[in-house]
Amino acid sequence: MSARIPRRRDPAKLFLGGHLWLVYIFLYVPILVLMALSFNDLGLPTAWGGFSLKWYSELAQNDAVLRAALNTVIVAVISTILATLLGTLLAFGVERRQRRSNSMEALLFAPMIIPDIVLAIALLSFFTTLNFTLGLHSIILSHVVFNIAFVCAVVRTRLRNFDFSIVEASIDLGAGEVTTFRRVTLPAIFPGVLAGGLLAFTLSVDEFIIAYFTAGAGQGSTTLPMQIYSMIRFGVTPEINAMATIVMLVSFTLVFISQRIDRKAISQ
Amino acid sequence: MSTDGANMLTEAGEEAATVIRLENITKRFGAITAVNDISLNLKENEFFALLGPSGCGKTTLLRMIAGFESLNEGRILLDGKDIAPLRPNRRPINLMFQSFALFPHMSVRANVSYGLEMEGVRGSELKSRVDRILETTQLTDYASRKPDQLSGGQRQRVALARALVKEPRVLLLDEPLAALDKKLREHMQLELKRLQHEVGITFVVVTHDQEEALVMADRIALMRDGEVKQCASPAELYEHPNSRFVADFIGVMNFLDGEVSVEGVSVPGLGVLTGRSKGDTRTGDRACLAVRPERLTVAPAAAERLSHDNVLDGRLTDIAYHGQDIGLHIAVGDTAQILIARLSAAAEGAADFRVGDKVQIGWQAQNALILPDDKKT
Repeated sequence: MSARIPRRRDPAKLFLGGHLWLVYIFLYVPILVLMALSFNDLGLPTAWGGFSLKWYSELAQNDAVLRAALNTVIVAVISTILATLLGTLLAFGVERRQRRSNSMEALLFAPMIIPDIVLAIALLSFFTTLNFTLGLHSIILSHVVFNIAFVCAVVRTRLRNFDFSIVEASIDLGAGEVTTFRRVTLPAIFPGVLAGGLLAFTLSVDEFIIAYFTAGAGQGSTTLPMQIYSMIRFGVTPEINAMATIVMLVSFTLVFISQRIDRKAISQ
Repeated sequence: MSTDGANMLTEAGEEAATVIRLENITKRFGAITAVNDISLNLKENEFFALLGPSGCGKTTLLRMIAGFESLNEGRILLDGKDIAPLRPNRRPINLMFQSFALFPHMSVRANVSYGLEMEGVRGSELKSRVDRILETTQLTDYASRKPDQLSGGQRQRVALARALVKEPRVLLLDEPLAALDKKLREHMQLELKRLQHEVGITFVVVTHDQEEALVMADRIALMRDGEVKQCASPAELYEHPNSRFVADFIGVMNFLDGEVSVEGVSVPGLGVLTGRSKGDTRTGDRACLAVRPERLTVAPAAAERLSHDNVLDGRLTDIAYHGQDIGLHIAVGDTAQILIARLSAAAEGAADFRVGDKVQIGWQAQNALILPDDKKT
């Protein structure tokens, strides 16, 4: 029954649509080229020598890279756990405060907004002032600092729709504080906490500047982004392409999952 | 003043045992006194309503009974024992929250089971008790649903089931029907009453809706500014309000302000009008004569003079049609004060009134009240 109305071609819309595609191409073509080159049998960026996984197997035999990868996982896991815990508590504290002040809110977001280089220098001078030995632990602490802000921001969006009377309801029904947190509060906000944690993990895996400044002199605390940086000084090898591809896929997957969870949480 | 109603009723209803006794409860938030020296007795198997305008302290009182607010003064006795040291999770009292506060991540069954699990009830006993209450609240078919898959009325029933399954001594309900639409609200008023009879638990409901309180409650405590102004049965409250505030809050009331004289109230421009007095006014006091719209008889001015104790002449200024009855707005005296009369739409001659008609209004002295002037200044 419904007659189809021919869509009018609006030149402004056409232009905007074309512009959008140009931006996407600009953003993603280099990445796609990098991914393609990681499978290039020839080690050259200029010629295609057939599909091969040899750069991935070479990567797997590179001890320095593997150690750096392990370091990154250690830093990311520990800093994510700490930041998620502290950021969630912070979000609760902020949301339950009776009086809200804008300057307090701004302070919360500061670590997200300050340029990484500034934060890196600040943390480095802070650690040296305290005569703190640098290493993986100082990278972990530094990552916790900026990740708290991100976790807090994500969890707060979840808490904004949180009915605090369910906490009282649980107590009214006979539960203690701990049981209430475990069975009611945490499950109700869990999607937000998980999304915040995944975001923190991704940020920690990718982070270079702050890790570079706070790692100290030893080789033992090199993280993956730092390893890539040092390798790149001798030219971009297909090995690096392979590693970049892996890192990117991991990051992309985590961001994708965290966004899916967040959207589900908001639609509830 | 605030304790009068409670004491009066303790004497009147001694056959029902007291479950909760509030003794001189006071609660202050900083400089504001939210609850001021309230004493009440809540009886076994009673539907009790705390009624009042917003900010009168009724919810604070409810939360103190539940244990979520502390007291500044006074005692709360449950079966004769002071429950002040008991935290909310140790009191055999449950609260139904205004927002219902259902656990969003749990199914209906898990929500209802939660309270019993906290008591250590397990296995077949848990299942049978939950099944029974789900049946009572007609939720059996929805047991596996999550709260966001339920309608407002269903959510309300889950909140009720969740609290009732614990078989508390007293169930507190904070504005239980406020979240529902008008039609459903009227249905649920009777439903709550039926449920209360069925489970035999004392219900204490907080509401700002006087109609809701009148329909549901066995007794109502009408509150204002942290004090109980009158505590009585709905009929008592409606027919024998003890103050102008109560008379005004419950239903519709006509007030004629004047001064107490020997025979009644002398109203400027209308002369002396008669009514019942409770003896709390003295000659010369400022007072008002209060009479309900349905107690007024209206007849055309041309008709035979009414034989009531009080008869006034007036002019019909407005007719409000309510379906089952008609509201007549009548201007009387030099000041053209409006009196509202209600008569059944089926009454003889009810359809003949026209705006602008000259009419006479009459009422018997026994149907009007002389109340001391307690208007807020």
